[in-house]
Amino acid sequence: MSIEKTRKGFVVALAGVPNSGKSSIFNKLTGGKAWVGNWPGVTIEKKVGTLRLDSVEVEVVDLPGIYGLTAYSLDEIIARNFIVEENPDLVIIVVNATNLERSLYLALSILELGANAIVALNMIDLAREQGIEIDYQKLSELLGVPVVPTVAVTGSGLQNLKKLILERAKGGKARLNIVNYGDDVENAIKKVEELLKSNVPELLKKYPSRWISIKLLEWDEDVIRKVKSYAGGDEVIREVERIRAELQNKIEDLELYMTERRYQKILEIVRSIVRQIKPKGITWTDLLDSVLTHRVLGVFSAIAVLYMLFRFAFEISTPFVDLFSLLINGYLHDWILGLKLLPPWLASLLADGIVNGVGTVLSFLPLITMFFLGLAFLEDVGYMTRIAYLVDKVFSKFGLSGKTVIPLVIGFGCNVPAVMATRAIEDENERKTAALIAPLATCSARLPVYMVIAYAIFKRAAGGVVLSMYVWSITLALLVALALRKFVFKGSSTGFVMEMPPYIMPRPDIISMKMWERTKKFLRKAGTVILIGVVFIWLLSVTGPSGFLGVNALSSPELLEHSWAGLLGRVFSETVFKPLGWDWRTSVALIFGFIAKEIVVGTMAILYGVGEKGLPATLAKLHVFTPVTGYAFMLFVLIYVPCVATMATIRSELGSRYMLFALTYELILAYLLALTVVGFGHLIGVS
Amino acid sequence: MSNEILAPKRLKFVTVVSSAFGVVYLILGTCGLLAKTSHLCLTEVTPANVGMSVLLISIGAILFSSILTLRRDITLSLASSFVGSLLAVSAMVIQVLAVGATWLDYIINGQSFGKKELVAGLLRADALLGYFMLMLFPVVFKTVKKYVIKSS
Ligand SMILES: Nc1nc2c(ncn2[C@@H]2O[C@H](COP(=O)(O)OP(=O)(O)OP(=O)(O)O)[C@@H](O)[C@H]2O)c(=O)[nH]1
Ligand SMILES: [Mg+2]
Repeated sequence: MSIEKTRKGFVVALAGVPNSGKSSIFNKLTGGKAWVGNWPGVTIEKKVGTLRLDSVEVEVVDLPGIYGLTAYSLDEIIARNFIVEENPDLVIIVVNATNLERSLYLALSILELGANAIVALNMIDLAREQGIEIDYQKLSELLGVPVVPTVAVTGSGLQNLKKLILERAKGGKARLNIVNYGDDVENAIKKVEELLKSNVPELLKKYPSRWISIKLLEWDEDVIRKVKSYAGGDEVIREVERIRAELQNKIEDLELYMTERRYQKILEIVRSIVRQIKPKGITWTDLLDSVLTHRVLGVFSAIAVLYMLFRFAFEISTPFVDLFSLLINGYLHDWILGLKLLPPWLASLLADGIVNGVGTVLSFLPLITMFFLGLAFLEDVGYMTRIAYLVDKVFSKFGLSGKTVIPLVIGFGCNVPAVMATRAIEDENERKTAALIAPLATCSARLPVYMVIAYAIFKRAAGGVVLSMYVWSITLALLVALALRKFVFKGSSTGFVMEMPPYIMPRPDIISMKMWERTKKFLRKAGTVILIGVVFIWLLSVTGPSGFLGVNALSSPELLEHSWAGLLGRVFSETVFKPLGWDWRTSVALIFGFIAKEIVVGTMAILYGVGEKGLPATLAKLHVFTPVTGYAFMLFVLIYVPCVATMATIRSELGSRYMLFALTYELILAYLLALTVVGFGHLIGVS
Repeated sequence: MSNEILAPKRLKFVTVVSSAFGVVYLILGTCGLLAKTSHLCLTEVTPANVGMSVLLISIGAILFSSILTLRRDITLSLASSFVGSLLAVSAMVIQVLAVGATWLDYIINGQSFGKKELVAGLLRADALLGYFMLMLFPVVFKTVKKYVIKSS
């Protein structure tokens, strides 16, 4: 193939209903790592990858799922605009074989648009399990485009898909008139087509006249706007209005009628291609759902599942965390200090600064990885939508739909994707509310802080104390949502519409990919932001207004108090944090934790020093916290500010005003709540 | 209609046995909750542990509901036995792993791990009952599998 062709790039878009396997196909085609998960609405922005076929370089675009070419939520708009406006050279319509009606509705919409398309009939393995066999050759005849059966997760059928992409790269025409709308409407369509030809010929260079006509008759706001933007467009619209009025004498609700005609056609197609090889009956998914989405039993199941996932991550990782801590803070630290050839300042920077600071954070790697494993399992098995369904009733009392639970659960991993995930929420006010409470989801970066404090003070009850942070996290998110929905983004829950995907056995390769991707982000953060933060804090602790204090500053409290860090910390510990009973070191930790919450632990490790028994032991020995001030501290860290990355995301999703709003409300809420805890502690006589 | 799908005997067996276990789970779960206040309840098997107790009660409720719904809704009844015993077995696995983890932790920290603690951990209610449920699970699974295939 010529270089020109490669340069120009051949663009293939993946389109389909949510949860049909677009991202899975994308990953297999491009070797990419698009996020996949077993619930509708995983992908919320377009993702581009490349596929080399012979010598052709194909640009593959993964899109969010859509049900039709009329878009409601932000993610849908992204997909719709790409298909309609950007004219990809080829559209792979990913059809979910277990959900043919919905999928075909979208397929027909895309074909009506005149796109050069092929159909990937995905998830045929699941369809077969349900006793369904699909005659894909017949489907191909009926739609007038090639159809390839695929199983995205195993890669079966993808070779054929690639072959077809190459073939269709030369172009291909779609059948535009698969659906017959009945004589009256068909005549009207013809009339409008004529109108378009004579009034806005320019527009027809981009879109087929039949498609524009159909959309105009359906009174599609977007297409109306498009037509109006051309000279002569206004006249067309006026004429269409007249034609519509005429039609409505015979057909009352034109839009509904046309949708019904499409569904009739789809039923016809489905009937002729689907063969039920086993009698239809109860599936595993039905059976499980009868308990898991049961009003009462579902709640019991959710409690059991979530509690076990929690134990799995937190208890089983303990020995590994301790081992890491021993190796890093014990052996590695001492080994570096013992190296004779290093100048003392460098040894201190490496051992007391980097190894203690970054190392203490890294020692939680086993916990964090196992937590990610649990999260990936939850996402892939298909249980997320069931949790959403179960909590919907409760959430609606707070002005949210059950859907909001998905960003919150994702937020337990990291708040950044959580804020993005709110794009899938249709109602604008509800989406903004969800994005603003997402930082309250207690992310994995806060885990090291909880673990350190909880093990330092609460010992045996540490697990319960950490678990209580999750309860606080959800409770506060709901309460803030309630306030926001009452006073700022007024409105009530828009209700719960969400498809329940079938349960699938999570695949080890996908689970481990997802676990590794999240872990990689954590490691990258440790090697960059946390590292820089830690070095900076080390510098602030060994220098002061009187210059270099010497590396001994870190081991002598009097000297350390006169470092920059000491001065800075005291400004806070003797003023705003005074009523909370936190010392200056803790105050410094909080200030820098603003960048990334792991730095809280890193800072404490530098300023208090870590022995081989780990940071909790040191904190316990030094009596840094009482149970009350410690618990208040954990709560404060949970709430006080979204990290810098989350703030940037809120800014790009909602704008600077809302970012500042999130920052302010969180600071105030955190402070007041910490104060309440300390006050309450005094009241009942625990100090 | 669906009564004909399964041998009634087998169905009854699964339901009765899992509901009976459900009762035991419920009792031991309640014991765990009361262990703090009443010494009668505090045993090796049910130490005062809120998390464990809540877990036991949840599993117990699901298992027990199997018999309550048998007449009304066979699917729900079977599903309760299945989900309940699946959760019960998972709870046991997690507890055994957790005991193993604690044991490893003692080794890493250079402490000696009492045999007594090990035994207590492995005989805690969620583990202990789980061993029995592990024996029951294959039967429940087979029954449910038959039901799903036959009716689908
Ligand atoms: N059994 C089976 N599972 C599949 C197949 N294709 C995808 N999956 C699973 O189905 C789920 C959804 O896949 P995704 O690739 O995330 O779907 P998507 O179309 O990108 O979904 P959205 O981004 O939400 O629109 C994942 O859990 C996949 O592992 C398939 O052919 N067979
Ligand atoms: Mg996707």
